Amino acid sequence: MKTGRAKRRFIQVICAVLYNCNITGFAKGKIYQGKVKGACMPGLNCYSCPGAVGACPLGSLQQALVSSKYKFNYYVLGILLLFGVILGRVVCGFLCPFGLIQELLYKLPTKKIRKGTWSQVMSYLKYVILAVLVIGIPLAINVPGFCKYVCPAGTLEGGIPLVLMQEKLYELAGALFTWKMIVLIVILLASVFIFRFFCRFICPLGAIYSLFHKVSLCRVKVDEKKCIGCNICVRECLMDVKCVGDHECIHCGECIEKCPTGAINYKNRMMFTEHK
Amino acid sequence: MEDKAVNNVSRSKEYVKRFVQIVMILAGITLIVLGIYSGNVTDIWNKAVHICYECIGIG
Repeated sequence: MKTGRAKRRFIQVICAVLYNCNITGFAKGKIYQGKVKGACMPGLNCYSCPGAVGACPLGSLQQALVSSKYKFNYYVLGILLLFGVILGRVVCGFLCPFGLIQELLYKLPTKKIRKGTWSQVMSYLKYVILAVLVIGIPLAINVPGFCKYVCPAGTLEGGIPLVLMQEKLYELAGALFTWKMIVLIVILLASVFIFRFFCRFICPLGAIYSLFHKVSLCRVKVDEKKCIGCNICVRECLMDVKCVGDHECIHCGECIEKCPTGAINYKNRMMFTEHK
Repeated sequence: MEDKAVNNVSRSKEYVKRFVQIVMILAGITLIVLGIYSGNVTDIWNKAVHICYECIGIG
């Protein structure tokens, strides 16, 4: 029963390693400059991380909007469309390093704050952040709003290693760096008590992928013929789902194991771990 | 008779969903190819290979 969970964890770890496999970058305190860096990775992973070998889709989207007055970036739009329709929020459940970090933090043995009406309401905050920080601010004042003021992946993977390894950057770190560190610490601390705090309430990339929940090719699906309407899947799910596979579902597959009638499975099973 | 009607409705919903999926995949591929030819990948690469000072909190 736990085989599916272990395999998903394995995929998450492999992805995190592959996204950040430029080991020499960590050793030298320099970022990767190879040709592959122009390719966007599906999950949230700062391209200023010394280990990052690909571009962040969210950072690329904001940069595209900043320069949209001069040139339209078809590539970023196409990449997000393709990832969205093929994978949707499977990216969140399987392919995002920051999602993995939050899940590992949640494993710490503390009292947990369970979901409720409050978290369902708060889950819409990420759409506001998408509209204002990711789209609005870059268009209005030519600044990547989310990257600059919020993104914890940028601080954790890029800011901290580079500031520690480059004296010049250490001297330049000021109020903005302090603010971003506070944001990072709050998010990491909250993730210990609240499952995937960042993913559920803040992540604009998750918000983008969630828009594809009805059309994504890869997802968990309920067999209506087998379903008895017991709602165990929704009750046991740690995300703010109202039904399996909705816009809050990250397709982790935990509900597959909880379903008493085996009514839930992955839609494109060949691409996923087997759940028995 | 009612079951047949329900089956027809769900089948046509599936066809619509399939059509939307195909259109979106084709649109995504077209945009990516357009982007490559327009030099968008080079623009992203240019940004990605330099330290993003906003991203790391330097400003």
